[in-house]
Amino acid sequence: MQQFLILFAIGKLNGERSLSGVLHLLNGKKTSQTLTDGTLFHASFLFSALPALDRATLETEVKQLQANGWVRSLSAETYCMTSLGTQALQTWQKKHPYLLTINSLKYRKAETLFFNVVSLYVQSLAHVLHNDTRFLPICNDFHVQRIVKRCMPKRSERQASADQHYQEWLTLLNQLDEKSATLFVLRMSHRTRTGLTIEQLADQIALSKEEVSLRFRAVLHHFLQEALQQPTLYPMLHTLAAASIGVESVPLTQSATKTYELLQQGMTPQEILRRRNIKRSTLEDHLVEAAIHVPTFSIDAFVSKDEQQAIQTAFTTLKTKKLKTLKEALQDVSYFKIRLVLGKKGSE
Amino acid sequence: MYPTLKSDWFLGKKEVNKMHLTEILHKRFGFPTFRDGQRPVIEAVLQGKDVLALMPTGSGKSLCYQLPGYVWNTPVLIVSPLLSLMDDQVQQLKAAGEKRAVALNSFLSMEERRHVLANLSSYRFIFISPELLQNAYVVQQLKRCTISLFVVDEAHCISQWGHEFRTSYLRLGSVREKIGRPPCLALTATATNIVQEDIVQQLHLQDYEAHLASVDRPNIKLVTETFATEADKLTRLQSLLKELPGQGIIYAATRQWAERLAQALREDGHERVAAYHGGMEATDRQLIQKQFLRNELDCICSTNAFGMGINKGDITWVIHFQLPSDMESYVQEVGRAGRNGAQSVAILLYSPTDEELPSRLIQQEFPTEQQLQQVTRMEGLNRESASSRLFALGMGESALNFTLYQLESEGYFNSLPNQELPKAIEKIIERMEYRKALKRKMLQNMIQWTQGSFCKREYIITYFDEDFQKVGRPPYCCSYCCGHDVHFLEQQKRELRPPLQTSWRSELRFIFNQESDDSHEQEKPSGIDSTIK
Ligand SMILES: [Zn+2]
Ligand SMILES: [Zn+2]
Repeated sequence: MQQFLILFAIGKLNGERSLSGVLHLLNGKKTSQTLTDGTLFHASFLFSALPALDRATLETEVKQLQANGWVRSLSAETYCMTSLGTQALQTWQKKHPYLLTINSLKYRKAETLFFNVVSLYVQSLAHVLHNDTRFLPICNDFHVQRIVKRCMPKRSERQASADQHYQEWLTLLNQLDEKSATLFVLRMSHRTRTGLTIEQLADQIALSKEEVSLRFRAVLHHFLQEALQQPTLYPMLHTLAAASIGVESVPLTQSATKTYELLQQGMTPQEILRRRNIKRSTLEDHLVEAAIHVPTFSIDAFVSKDEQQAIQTAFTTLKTKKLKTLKEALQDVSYFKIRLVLGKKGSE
Repeated sequence: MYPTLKSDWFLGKKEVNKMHLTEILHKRFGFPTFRDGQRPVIEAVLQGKDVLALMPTGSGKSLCYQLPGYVWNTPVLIVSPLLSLMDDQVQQLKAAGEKRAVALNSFLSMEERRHVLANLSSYRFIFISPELLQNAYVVQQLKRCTISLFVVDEAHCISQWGHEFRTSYLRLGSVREKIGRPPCLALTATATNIVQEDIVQQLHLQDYEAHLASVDRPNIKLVTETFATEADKLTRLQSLLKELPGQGIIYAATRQWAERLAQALREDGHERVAAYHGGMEATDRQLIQKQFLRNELDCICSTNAFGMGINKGDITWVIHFQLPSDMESYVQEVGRAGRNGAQSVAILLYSPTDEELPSRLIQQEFPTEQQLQQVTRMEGLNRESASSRLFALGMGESALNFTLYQLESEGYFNSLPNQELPKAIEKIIERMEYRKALKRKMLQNMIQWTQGSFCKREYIITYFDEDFQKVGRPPYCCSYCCGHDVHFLEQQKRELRPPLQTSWRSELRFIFNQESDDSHEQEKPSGIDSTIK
């Protein structure tokens, strides 16, 4: 699995980027701003597909790919895919059609919240259908619990909602292969069984952990995509998806909404500055606002994962939200980045 | 139904006697009777007395403030050191039908925190972190809402003589004064005499009642076994797992070890084993915790930081694969076994190489001398700016807290004359060395206990300043008194994980309660059976 994902990434980046680019794309730790939708057309699943990948492992795998004759080196740091490699990749990709369902650029930020909402909702519904209201929730997150509470049906409508859910799930899962449908359902908790972890699923279905993660992500994105686009076909899942993605009530100021919309259309911050003729500090305020209020808004393009981690550590260690203190502790990190991370954190 | 008490809500002894506490217990908590030690503490609390209660882990400490919470109509404030523990407690209260419980900590968003603080008096139980209690606004709001009881959980954290000293716990006494001096209930599982004295002094307890339960847990047999190498320990662990009935916890010193042990055991055929630690992804950690609580797992391999919130009565055994850092930690961790009163066992597997890791951890808890010397070169710092500079020097959380507290008590932030700074640093180093030595001594005690030829139980009882004559020796005492045998444990039948040979379609029907309705799509033959190799 790992080997082919690396091969895929090298093929996609097509010799334009060094091994570091491949590494950052696959483990998702640092964001390269120049990676646009175009580069990852039909391949956004590569984004953080191997979160645990490190430099040494990557180099070993690339040596192996080279020995297979699937890639050749252009310079010390860059590689490109050979025609032999292209063939191998095509054969492999046919066995993993679910990868194309993944749309990380669009749903990566929403997927965790959506999953938490869906699993807590399913657990709650499965219990209350049997008038069992005393159970330990599978997710302790305040925010998730609030969304689920808002979406839960009234007592008299519980079974009707469950019937509708059943139909929606059945339709969507029937569009997938058996393995993906199985692992998704087994990841849910119900009255007599707690959901399985990625590792347990890998054991259970005899797949690699990487494949289980990717398949799971594919199902989540499939659900999100269909439920958001076809509210009449999937009214129940639409409610959960919309609540998770926050499209229905983005409490931004008018000006910030405009900035946010332009960003959604794919404009870079520089382009927005020019187009809207606003000050840099204003734009920064808008982005911080979006970080606070829009759950799906990713700050990864503005703050690297390492910096996010550093800010997070400073925050938990110093236990303060005072910008000045955090700035002094972190030295090289800008106020803007600290505000973004704190804003994002507050919204979670 | 229950007396509604306003300003003068504390009860006389007679009134408390007349109250049907068992009725409240049954109605609110579903227990038919009190457990050992709970009732006298609750009665003292209801009379408005300061109380120091030393109750072993799992003896139902939390009931001692939860039940009074239902007698009074003003909030009970609970200071708790661990964020995850706080959230778990709130969840458990909510699962039991209590909506008026909240955890106030730095992980609430500003908006949520503001909302909670504006409505404090509408809560029955307010859990709060000691750091947040340093905030003047928070204290002011607490003062306005008349707190009926000030509970300090894990009160041993207040003592510099204890194993788990936290600087954030030090100012609790003055906070208590500021919010109108509500009666105080100090709770702890283990505390030596000297730590108890510290608690009383620091929290300003007056005319207090002390309820000191024994640290002894007669239903847990204490076993230590020594091995030459780590590999030998692992072999022993694997064979132990084949023998031991019921559910258990294996404690490992690091996350890596927890993972390694779980992996090794699974490869050895124990499918129902999983690792559990802070480095795991939050979602999967939650799932593992719930699986363990619901007996879908036999065993979790855990680091000591986690599992604190796990409230599970039927744990039959606890194994330490590595040495705990002191007797206090050992007693607390072992205390998770046999909370339901059933005969249980605690097994510590020791090999001489075990000593390196805890020694290293002790070093990391303190600043280096070099870091302290660097501090002397900083000038004109206040508490805030000092903390960020120390962080920039690369100090970890506990080293940073230690340094800040020491600087503060030396008057460093109150215009200490420059020429006196070196002397202050010298004093800090002295105290640091003292504390390191104390920690090393505690570790040595632990090793001595592991290795010594004496009754393991008697040593622990004596270590905690109790009289072993009074405690006595249970039939299954320890490996010194009665050997390593573990076959006396009741052979409980292990439940099997609910069978997974059904297809996802029938799982789905079960989830959404479609069983009674057969109008749905017919089962396709290609179920999960064909996908599971
Ligand atoms: Zn959240
Ligand atoms: Zn003994």
